Amino acid sequence: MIWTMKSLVLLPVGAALMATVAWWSGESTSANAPHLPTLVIAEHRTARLQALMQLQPALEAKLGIRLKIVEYPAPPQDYFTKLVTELRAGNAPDVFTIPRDLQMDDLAAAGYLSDLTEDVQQWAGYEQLPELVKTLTRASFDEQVYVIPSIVAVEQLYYRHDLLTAAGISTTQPQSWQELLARSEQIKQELGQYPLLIPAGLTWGMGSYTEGFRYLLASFSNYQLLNADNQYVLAADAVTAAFGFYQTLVEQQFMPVKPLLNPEPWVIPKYEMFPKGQLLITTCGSWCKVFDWGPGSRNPIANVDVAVQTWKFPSADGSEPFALASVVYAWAVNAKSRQQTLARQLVLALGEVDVALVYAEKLGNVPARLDAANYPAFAALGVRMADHALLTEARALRTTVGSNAMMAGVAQASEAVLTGRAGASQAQQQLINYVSNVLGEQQVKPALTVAKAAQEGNAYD
Amino acid sequence: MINMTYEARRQLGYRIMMAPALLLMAAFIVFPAFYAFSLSLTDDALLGFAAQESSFVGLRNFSRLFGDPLFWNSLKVTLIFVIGSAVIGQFVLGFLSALALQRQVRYKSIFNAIICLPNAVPEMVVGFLWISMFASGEYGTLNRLVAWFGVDPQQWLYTFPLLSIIIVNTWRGIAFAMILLTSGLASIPKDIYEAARVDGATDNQIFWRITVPMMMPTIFLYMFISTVTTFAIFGLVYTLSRGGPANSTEILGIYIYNQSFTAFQLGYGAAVAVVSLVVSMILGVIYVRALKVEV
Repeated sequence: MIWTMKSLVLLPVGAALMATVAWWSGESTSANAPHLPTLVIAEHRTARLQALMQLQPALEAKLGIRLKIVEYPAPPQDYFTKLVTELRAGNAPDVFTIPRDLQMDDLAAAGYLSDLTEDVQQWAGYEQLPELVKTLTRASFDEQVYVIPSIVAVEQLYYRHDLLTAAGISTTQPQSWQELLARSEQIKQELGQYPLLIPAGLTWGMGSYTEGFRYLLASFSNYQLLNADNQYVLAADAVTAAFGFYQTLVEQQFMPVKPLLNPEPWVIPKYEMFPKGQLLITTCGSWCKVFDWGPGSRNPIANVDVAVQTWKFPSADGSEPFALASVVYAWAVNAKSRQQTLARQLVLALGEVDVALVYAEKLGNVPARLDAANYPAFAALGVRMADHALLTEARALRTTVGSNAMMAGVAQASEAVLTGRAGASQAQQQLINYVSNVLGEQQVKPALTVAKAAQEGNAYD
Repeated sequence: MINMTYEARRQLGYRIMMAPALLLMAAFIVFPAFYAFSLSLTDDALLGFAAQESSFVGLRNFSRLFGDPLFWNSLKVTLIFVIGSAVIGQFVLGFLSALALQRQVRYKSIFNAIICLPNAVPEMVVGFLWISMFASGEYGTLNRLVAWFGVDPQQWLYTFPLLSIIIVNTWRGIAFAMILLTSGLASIPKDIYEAARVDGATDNQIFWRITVPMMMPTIFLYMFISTVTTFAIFGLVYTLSRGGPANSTEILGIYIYNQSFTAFQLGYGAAVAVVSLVVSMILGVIYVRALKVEV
């Protein structure tokens, strides 16, 4: 009873105290800040937050604004889900990033993004972008610009140069899929380790496409994921061959399959096996030598710039090996932002080279603009300067609205190959069925049959 | 009002007192259920053109659903999960705990607290706690324990995914079962037991012929509540496995989330939610009506 009485007295007193403190702190904050317009900007992941906080004072001074940085969940999928639900609800930040270029069309089609076409026409930085990057900033359905690119990921094969050299295995650039598979066989025989990782499966999510399947499709120089009518071309031979390549990796035990079925499938192969030399080759991007295995990462590889080197991805049709480029974390303006003018000025400022260099240094990608090479700070990128030089020749596969469904279909179908439930043609049919179900049959070209269905089991070898 | 009979006034009073609860139920249960059903008849999405303007598609989402092997897998996984953790695991261990607490045991309050503690921990925290327990490699808690017996480190959530989440949910739910079943046991008149003992009944006979039959309403009430709530579990399994590996732990809650917020197909996700609601209701009706138990 005594405690009850005490509680009755203490509770309101405590509540009043907290309210006073909250009011006082709010007052003091607003009293200290000048009356500047505030823009809310979403950012996530420690490295990106650090970069933005470093840039914040200069951006605020340049534009005469106050930036309110809101921290979002770190995993890209969680970040994107939160962002999309807030955009739908109408309470998203004024400015945010889009993790991958192929997510832009879906957001723009939903009406979430401001059209920046007129803004970039008056922005000198746009002319400094490689043509490929410019293309990836335009939505496929209306050719309008919806994002301002800052950094680009250049994606290739990363291999353990130190271990292959020590084992006397050739480290020359593989020119074709056959050569890559032959090299993999040699690694398996001589080192007894898994040679090659190309991400796949449900739990890798969109990465099964962006970090895996996309390389295989791009290996065919004449293949385009979209036709002239912006339909997904999924019944092509290139798609069958891509699933066939996975089938070969699984059947020949070139790829560690079990870890790919885990909730966080990248952890074991990329963060444990590759640094330990239990996996010798993997697809990765220009962030990997910093974020994944750099000296400041959780899984450092000693002398990473020498120990780990890159091959371009070999082609499947006799064309030259290639690097892929993706516009990552491009800046966008919320179409419902009440401060459109300022938000547009902010994203243009975020597209400047000095901003890109800070992000590139912390996150490990390369600036999107070609004139970045003229800046003194560019030298700090070290070996990634070579990645930047690839921007003018890199490949990309353009996507359209529904890329999310296409990527989910790839994740499902590739998991069926991983677990042995489907061969290449069956997986392709599963992909077509899924995308047709979700997007409607008119979105997939051609119809629902795979010409090569009879050739089941045609693993690529 | 003045001309109303006493009974009529009393009934009106009851209705007025129930009104706030009914309003809340209508706002937060009935309306969302109907809204989900209406959503399931559209192609509404969080991305793409459909996010701006969705269209009525009739039963297309449902026809797609019934032809989707991942949905059937999800339903199967959910039923195994519910039967394994709620019906068998939580009930058996909760009943044993309730029976144990009927006896005079030392440190009863400590035992009680240990049983109840998992229920006090938020779902997501439980998930992260057990991730640490099940972690692969030599530093996982469970791997350290089994290492004492010479067992090599295991990938528990990969090798025994469904069993792992059943164990975690059982651990978490014992307290609720124990509390409910303890109240059921306490409601059985003591003189029935005394009469049985005077008649020479053994402990075994008393348990099967008195305790269990008289506990049936409580048991079915518990079964009903735990089945429906376990059907709706999401955070615990999402934290532990996200439905993997290879969909082996993709219960309906995860499947709905994945369709709605990973694939961003609200219409299809709503269709799965509607089917999930119907399945829950059917199970509820089986418990409450088919078994003829008054709850």
